[in-house]
Amino acid sequence: MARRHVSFFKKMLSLEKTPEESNTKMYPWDESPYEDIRTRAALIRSRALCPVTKKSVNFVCPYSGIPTHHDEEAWLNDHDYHENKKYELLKKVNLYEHDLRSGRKFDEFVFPGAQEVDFTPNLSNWDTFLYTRDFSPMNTEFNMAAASKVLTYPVTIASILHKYSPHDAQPKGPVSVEGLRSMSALHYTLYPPFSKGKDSEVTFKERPMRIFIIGAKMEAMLPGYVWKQFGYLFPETKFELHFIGPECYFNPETRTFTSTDQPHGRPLIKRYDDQLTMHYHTHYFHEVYDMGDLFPFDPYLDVFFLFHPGFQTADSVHWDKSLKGLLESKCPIYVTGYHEVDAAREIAWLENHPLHDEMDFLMDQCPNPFGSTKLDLVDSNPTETFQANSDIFAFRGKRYHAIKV
Amino acid sequence: MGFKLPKTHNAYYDPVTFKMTPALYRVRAPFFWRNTIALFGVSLIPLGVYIYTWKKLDTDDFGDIPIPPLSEAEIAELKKEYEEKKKLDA
Repeated sequence: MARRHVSFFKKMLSLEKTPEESNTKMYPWDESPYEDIRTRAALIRSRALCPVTKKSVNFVCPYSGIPTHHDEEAWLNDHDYHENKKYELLKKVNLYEHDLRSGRKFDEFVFPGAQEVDFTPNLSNWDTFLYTRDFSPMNTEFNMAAASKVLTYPVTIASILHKYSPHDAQPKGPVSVEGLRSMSALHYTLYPPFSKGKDSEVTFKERPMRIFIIGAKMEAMLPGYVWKQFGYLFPETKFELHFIGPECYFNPETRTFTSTDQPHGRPLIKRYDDQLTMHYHTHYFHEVYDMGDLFPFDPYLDVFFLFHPGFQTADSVHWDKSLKGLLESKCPIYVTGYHEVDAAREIAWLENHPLHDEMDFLMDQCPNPFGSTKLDLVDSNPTETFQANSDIFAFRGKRYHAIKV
Repeated sequence: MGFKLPKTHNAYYDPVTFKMTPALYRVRAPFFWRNTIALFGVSLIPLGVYIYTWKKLDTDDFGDIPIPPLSEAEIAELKKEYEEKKKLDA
């Protein structure tokens, strides 16, 4: 017993060096045993441009095994690449991709059941969350990458809505006064004021809470039991998850993102259990909004999440049309970005938008503690890595008309 | 009905050596320094009481305790008895 305590102190004070794990073999992507990785390497070669010479990519970085530069000379001349140790991130991308295909036993996807009433989940970071929810231990970074890649979507939403949210109010944290206002409205629904009878709750909980996920793709593919992990954190509330966007429904038969073929633009509804239902609207948000089926919006019961919307990409036209509806709803809108620069780009688009005067910022941009830890790279620029939901911020339509004094 | 096993997080210990897994080390890391300082502070209280008592008693010569009065003859007899006993033991 005593020896175990000594070894605990030794390890915590990092007196004991843990042996570095390098027993996983690293394959260059061109010679990977998995065909889809070889295809991706070919895709990088055909699409990407060398960051130094701006010519096509034709040189495989020996550290990471990923084609990154035009030739060895360009690779050697890329000081940014070597000084910031970007190759280490790329090496991780390489190892994670191979690990996911390795066919090892994925214990991290054995999910726990309902949270016992006497135990409170701790949502300060991934480790405490997974421990207090009694997930399988994520002993290696590979376990963590695989688990966080799917859990990031439900747990990010939960970490925002939960009463033990890791985001503090200003000036200690990123949440502004307006943010607290929106949050207290939602908390009123999630944690109703104490009453002896159950009757008084009914007066304002006449319908389930709706969570709109706009521009959904990856998150809409998640099966119900992953979303149920979100439900377990709010056992008293019923939820409707609305996935909105042309790529929100993945047809398992044709293996493509298709429209749901529901008549009159109705959503496809999948019921997971009594608590959770999932609605798939395969239209753009402004189309769904104009149809009016979602009315009325209620800031006490509705919240929007935009996971990496890409306001400035080719979808800009649609976001332009959707923004008006989003702001009119007066419900909080949480937006995530792939990395710091990406989230800053989304904010810049909002700030330069003509409707900027109509919005309040609820939450400054800050790193999301429940972002995915799985690194990935951009095919058209292989030296740029990203992580899903890495940064988060929030805005909302102004609650009242501003009066000039 | 109603009986539930306490949450033990058994998966977070190695099944053979029962050592903590790396995941548990990461969970405990943010609490490590505060807990260590608290352990230090709490253990100072009994330790301080013990040292204070030791020091206080060390300086005491028990001069304030009255010794029952004995005559010279009685003292001599007791001394003799004591030395005889000592001789017998040796």
